[in-house]
Amino acid sequence: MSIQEERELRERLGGLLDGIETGPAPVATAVRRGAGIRMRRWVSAGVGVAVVIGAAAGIPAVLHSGRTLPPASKLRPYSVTVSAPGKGARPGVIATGSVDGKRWQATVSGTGADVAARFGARFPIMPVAPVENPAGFVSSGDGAGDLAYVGTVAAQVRDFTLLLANGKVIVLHPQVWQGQRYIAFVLPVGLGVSELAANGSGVVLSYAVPFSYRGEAIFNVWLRPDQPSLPRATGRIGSGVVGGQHWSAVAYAGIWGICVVVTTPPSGWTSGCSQVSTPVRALSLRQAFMFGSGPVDVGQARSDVAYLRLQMSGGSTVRTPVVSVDGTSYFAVANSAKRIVGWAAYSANGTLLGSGLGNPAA
Amino acid sequence: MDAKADEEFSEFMQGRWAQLVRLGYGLTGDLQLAEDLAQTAFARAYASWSRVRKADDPDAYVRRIVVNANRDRFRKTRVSELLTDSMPNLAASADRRDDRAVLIEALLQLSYGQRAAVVLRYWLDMSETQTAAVLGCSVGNVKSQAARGLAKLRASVALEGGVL
Repeated sequence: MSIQEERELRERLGGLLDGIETGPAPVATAVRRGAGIRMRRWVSAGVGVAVVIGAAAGIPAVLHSGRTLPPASKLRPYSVTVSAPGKGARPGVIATGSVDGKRWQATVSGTGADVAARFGARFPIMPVAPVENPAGFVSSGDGAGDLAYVGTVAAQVRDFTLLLANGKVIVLHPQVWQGQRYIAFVLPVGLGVSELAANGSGVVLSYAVPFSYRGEAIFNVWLRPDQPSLPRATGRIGSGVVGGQHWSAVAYAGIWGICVVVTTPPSGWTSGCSQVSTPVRALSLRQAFMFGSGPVDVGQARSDVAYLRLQMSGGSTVRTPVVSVDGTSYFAVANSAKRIVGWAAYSANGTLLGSGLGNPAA
Repeated sequence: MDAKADEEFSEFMQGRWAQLVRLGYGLTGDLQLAEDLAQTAFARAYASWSRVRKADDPDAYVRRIVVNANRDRFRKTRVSELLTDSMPNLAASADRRDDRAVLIEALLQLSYGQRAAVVLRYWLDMSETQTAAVLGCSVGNVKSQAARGLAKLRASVALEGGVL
């Protein structure tokens, strides 16, 4: 890019961003929220102590109750290994391994909220996920057929059992970096994950059957071994044209929770999952998924909502159907340059059930 | 927190609110989201104000929170976003949008890292080193992300006929 082009880009960006009108700074709100964050930190610290005391006292974990594992499928014979770092490994190394002979080493670095994971030059640097129970995951592809995963592990988990679609079982041992525990692994896109189980001392604490789309495993809902899961259901919840581009949104309910895939042919697609495992019962519409850079917002509605009327910033009104997939109702709206400034929800016979300002999926 | 610290924080926030909202808008293309991100950043800054106020560069701290909070938002609400080789063809409707809509749409088609690098480098005029500090990556990564982002912006169908 020439200096002239760079200058013009700066001017255009300046024109775009400097022209954004903002209201007064909501100092009081930020102070209130900030004080709440401080309070939660203190409470969390107290809960952490309680968990450690409970474990030390030998409180039994949930018993594994004979859930069936999916059968091994006939897949290309991938060779996948994952190992804990050896003695003498440099600080920050959390796992090593290989995929079909291609070796990788996962390291974490940074502090506090800025810890990032590296899997070598072929993968992008990934910010790690906040710790969740039993683990919060982030994944990224290398663009050549492999996906790297890094998980931030809760304190009560001893290790994980990773069951791959080819029947191979890999035990993942969390490694500590600056007081936080992590696991990492790399899998070929063609080799799915059947299940990931979080183990305590001799018992399965919880397990996840991931939602998989185009090879990526999304660990969305973790179930206790005796906990029922959502029945499997699939349904198209919306489609249309935005910016001259056709789009379609499909919801997949199942043991992984509820996930939605939005596709914009020929090859664009985005997926997202909600941890909602039961139908929404509140009247208010709420966002379950949001595709920040994608063309479509997806939300959930109460089951008696049949359609929405959305008021757009340009003055037009868009009627959006609400579609039920296994008892949970969804709507999908094109999120173009026009903003949604208001909504009204109607029953099948046209009765107004509720209305509000702004985007119902936000 | 004592009254003096509260006053310092209030002054800090009022002086940076607009810029942080605009940074959020550059990253998300959504003003409401941008305001949410900015407010989140300042709330977290307030929660750690005793540390933030002593930091070498408190501005970098809140910018980093905006960038990271938006990345967290991707992770939490969508869990994943895989980028595709080919982007939606926007030519059919490009001529109907004003320049601002065209530019923000082109920005939103960049990968998150590329978008953040372009906005930080070319709107906030941050150096490569400062950008790397905010994004939590290497200077080399900033260079490549910004270069790829600019190349995509320039090649974008939506910007054809523009100045890029």
